[in-house]
Amino acid sequence: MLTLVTTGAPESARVPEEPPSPRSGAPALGAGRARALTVVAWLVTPTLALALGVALEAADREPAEGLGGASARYLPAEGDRTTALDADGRSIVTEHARSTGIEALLTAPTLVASSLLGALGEEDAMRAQWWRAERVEEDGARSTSLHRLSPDGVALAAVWGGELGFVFEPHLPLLPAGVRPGSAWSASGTALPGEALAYAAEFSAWSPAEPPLDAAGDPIPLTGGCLGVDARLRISQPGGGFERQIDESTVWCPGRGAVWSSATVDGVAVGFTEQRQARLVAARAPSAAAPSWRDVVEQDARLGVGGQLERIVQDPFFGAAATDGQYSVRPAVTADGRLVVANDRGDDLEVWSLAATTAELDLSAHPGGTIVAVGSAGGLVLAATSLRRIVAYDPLGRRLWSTPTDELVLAAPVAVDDGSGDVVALTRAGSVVRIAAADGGEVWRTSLGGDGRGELAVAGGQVLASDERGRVSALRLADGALQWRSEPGLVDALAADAEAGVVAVATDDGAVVLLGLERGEERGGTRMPGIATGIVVAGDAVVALTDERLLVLDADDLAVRWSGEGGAALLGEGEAVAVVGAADVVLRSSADGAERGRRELPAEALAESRAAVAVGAAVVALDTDGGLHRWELE
Amino acid sequence: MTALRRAGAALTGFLGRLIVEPVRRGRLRDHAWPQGLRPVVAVGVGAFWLAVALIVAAPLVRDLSPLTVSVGSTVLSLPRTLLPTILWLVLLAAVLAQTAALHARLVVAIVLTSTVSLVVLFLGGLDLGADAGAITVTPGKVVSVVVVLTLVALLVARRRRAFAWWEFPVVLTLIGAAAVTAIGRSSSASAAFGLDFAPVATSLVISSIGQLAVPAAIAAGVAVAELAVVATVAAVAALRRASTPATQVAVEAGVADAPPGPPRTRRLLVAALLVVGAWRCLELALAPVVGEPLDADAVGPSIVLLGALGLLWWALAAVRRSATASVDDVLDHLDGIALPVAVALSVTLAPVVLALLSVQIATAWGAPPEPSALALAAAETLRGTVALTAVRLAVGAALVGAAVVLARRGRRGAPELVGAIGVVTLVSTAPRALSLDFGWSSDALAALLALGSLALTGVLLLRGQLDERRLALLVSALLLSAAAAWRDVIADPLGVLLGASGLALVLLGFVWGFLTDAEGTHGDSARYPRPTRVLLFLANAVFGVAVLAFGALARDVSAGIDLDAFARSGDELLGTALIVAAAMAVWAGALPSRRPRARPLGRLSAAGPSVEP
Repeated sequence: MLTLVTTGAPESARVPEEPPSPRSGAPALGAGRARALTVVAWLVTPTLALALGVALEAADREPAEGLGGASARYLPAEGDRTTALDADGRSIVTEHARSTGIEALLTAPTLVASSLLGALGEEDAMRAQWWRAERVEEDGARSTSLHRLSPDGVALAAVWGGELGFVFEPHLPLLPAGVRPGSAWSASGTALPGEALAYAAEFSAWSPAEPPLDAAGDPIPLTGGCLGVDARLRISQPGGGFERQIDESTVWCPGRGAVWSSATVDGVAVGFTEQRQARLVAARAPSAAAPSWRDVVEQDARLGVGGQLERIVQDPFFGAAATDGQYSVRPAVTADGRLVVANDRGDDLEVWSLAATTAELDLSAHPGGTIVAVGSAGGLVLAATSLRRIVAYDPLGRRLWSTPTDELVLAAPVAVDDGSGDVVALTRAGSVVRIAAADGGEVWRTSLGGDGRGELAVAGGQVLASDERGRVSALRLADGALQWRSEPGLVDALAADAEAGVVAVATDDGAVVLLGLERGEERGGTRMPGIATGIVVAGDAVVALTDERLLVLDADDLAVRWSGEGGAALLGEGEAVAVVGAADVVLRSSADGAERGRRELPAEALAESRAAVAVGAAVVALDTDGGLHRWELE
Repeated sequence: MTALRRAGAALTGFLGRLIVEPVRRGRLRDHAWPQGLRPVVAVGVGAFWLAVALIVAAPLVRDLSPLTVSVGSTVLSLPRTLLPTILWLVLLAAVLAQTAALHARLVVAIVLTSTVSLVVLFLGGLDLGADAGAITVTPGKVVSVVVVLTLVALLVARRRRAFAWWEFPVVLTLIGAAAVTAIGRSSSASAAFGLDFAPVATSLVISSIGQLAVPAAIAAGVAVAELAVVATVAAVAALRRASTPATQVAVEAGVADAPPGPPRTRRLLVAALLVVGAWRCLELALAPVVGEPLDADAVGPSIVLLGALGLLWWALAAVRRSATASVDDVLDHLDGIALPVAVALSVTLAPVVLALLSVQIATAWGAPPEPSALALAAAETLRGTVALTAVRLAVGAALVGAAVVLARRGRRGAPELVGAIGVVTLVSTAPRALSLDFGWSSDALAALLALGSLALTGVLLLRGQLDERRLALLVSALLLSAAAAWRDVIADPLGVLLGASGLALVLLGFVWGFLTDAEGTHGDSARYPRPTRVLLFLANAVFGVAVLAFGALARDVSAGIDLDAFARSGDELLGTALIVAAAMAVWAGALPSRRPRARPLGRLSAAGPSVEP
């Protein structure tokens, strides 16, 4: 007999009804009381649940509003860039940072920081609010001024980075909290620790009746209620010697800072005017570092001596000071072999010049928000930030442009290899965007159709990008058109090489898959244990690294050439690869795995995680806990 | 009945079998709920769907909200404005669990109350006072201790009494007071220093207790396989319905004798077999051409896996001394088996959570660091690869043993499913434990299932035994072989919407589980009264989806805890076992039998009845 039942058995047949337990509910009540209790339960239960939500919302306090009274409104916002032209028509680019606590002091030379900390006391320093203005001139000259925002207003605390530096105690009151036209105020104190210099200042505020003129002779718009301030500042050495007299008229406008200044310093005229809608021309791109990794490894180079670098910050006035700090994002390298990192708080971009035993801070910049990725393309240094922007700097550290993105950019933007200098970036929302190097304009944008994942690669006129739907897409570099799409799985590491004609990916389930660069066809693959920490195409070999194993495959027939121990970071191209492990760094020949040198890492350098980059012909490893190591290839 | 009507009826039947019937059977349903339980359920259900809405709308929410970002070895970015909502969802799950504990069996009550108490003390410990460097007794800590003592007192007072409507509001007030006091004080103290406390607190809470959502994630991973199997069965049933005349309906209803099947049914099944068979053959043949060749290294291990499962199937039937199970027998036991097996597979994570919470509480109260260091080392060991491998091997072996015991007791379906999960777990884990490169793959398994089904078709054809029932079974087998390779596509539409396939897989599992896995709440007993069952079900559902919402809002499903990885693990172990068990059931049904089958009627005989003609 053939029986066919498609609708299933009656419900009662499937759900065995157990007799109710006496503990399942309260004993029966009178109908009226039961109704009343039901109403109460319906009122109380959801109301209390909602009240908990409201209470949690109310308990959640965001960081305090900025201090400084009414005068704080004249200051540019956190992360803003302002540009000006000095009396000689040269551009000045200034970045503005706001912060609370001692982190602002940590950016200052040691003497300045200790002096300010000593004057404020630890408790006040932890709560103090700061405005830091970092100024870069056209010739690369840099200076920083640190201002404190307090209920008393805006006061200049210290200046450093130039030929002269000052630490004002008490802080120099630039804009008192209740400042208005007609106000007058004065201050005096020391301008350097130990009373090496003293200062005396007088100020008066006025209302600018006529707009001042900018460098082109056009009136500077006085929007929102601007304020003029005349200042006379005299800094002198007690007992004679050094003396400087500054007379300055400044116009401050809300949200724009000082937009016009006319001053004399010891009788010499100086000053600046706001440069609106400025389009800066990038300083010339530096020449490439020599020798390169490839140059050296082809000559059978070996891993030379090296070790941990001492990090130094030089100040022309306050001198050199050793520093430390952690690295919060994967580093990048400029064309001329400087190291690009974000500081440990993730709010400043830093570029370091590396020598045999030291690393010296070349420049720092403040793009605004938290830096989530750094990169370098041509002459540009790039930072992707939590404000969903990509910010570009020229080799002098001047902010050239800032372009918005539709989501965070978690991986370093990559240079396009067609000579245009443009960059491509992958956003978390899955947009691949090509950005013009000159002005940050969007050349094209293509959606992957899934959230972006991991890093980008550029090879053979294509951009290779992976997404959270387990796909790798190849987009044409010229217009972003989709060329092919493959589905190897969720990609943890990706590399492409035009010479070998392959795209190599390591997936989160332990697979290493090779795709054809031209059509995306799967050429095969293998599996390896552990969590992928890197993959590179080195010559005709594909090198994949996990925390447990190193595997080298022939890019043509996928035969396993050799394998080795796993590691935390992998780098290299051509004839050799370097693996940075927990306890050492090893340079190996790509062809046969022959060891070309092994150097131990110091025992204390056991970091939570570690990144490695090739800086010229050197291996550089960075620990998240702050270690910076370098070994030259010889 | 016209062809169009038959097709319509078939489609209705398909959707009914696929979606309506499982939801009707397994949804949360008011079975004489006590007074006051409905409002609690309304809050829990509302919280669940709010979290689902947050997950689906996460990209939009991030677009509209400023992001708070922390960097380090990974980048964690969260929409600032919704952090209190995530905490609210987590706290609500804790309140549901603690209210459930008041009337649960003693051991469960102790475990739940201990966990919730640790969470409350952990929250209290967030109030470090004005000087974070010094250990001080703060209002947040004091309130948390008072709340914990009150919760314990409430448990003692209410254990032997019936559920009362005010229990949930009281527990909510207590836990809420502790949380709001600690978070409010910590957040104001941090704000003065320019620090934003909520992102730190939220990620700390999720990373500390998020691992408790792992069993739910593993169980959620089986949803796609379940849907694939049910869809296969329903599709074949619909096919037969489309070709079934009205007279047959009476047969289906069991009120008339069955006349011989109409020729068009057979023709349709032959056509379906040819189409599906051709599809599977073409796919296998074209795989290397389209650049997706079968991994040759996975074929051997897949044969071993299939062989082991076949052996198990035969052994269980032999032990039971009766006919093998049908697909329905297997499916019927899935909901009852998936979550307990998931709990067993992740059993080491619960002590890890308790250790992490205890260490943080001890640190906040200024306990010496040595015990904390030991506890952390133990936690690291428990969540390490070695412990995970050992647990999987033990669970795999125990499941195979349990399958034999169940078969001895004459149970049908449960032994096959439990045993299949055990075998898949063992075959997946043992080679890794021995560092052997011996991994099966879904693609290879699918190919073997297809080839096996085609071979069986050939044998039956040559023997002249390819009747209508076997045709239906073989179509089912071929579709199941496709399901083994392609089941991921079920979550794909959701993946397109969410932009992440991992997130889609977990969300689909959670939602499907919420809609269909509440069958256990329909029962009642002294140890687990109905309100306790309902509240536990809601607590588990709300907590899982809250942790997932955290990942979705971070636009990183692995933020906090990588639920995606655990869901995929559930799909790999439990989902594969389900599909292969279903395929085995179909093959077993298609093979000629020497003796009459034990069961006169198979409820779900769409893939073919368990009845020999």
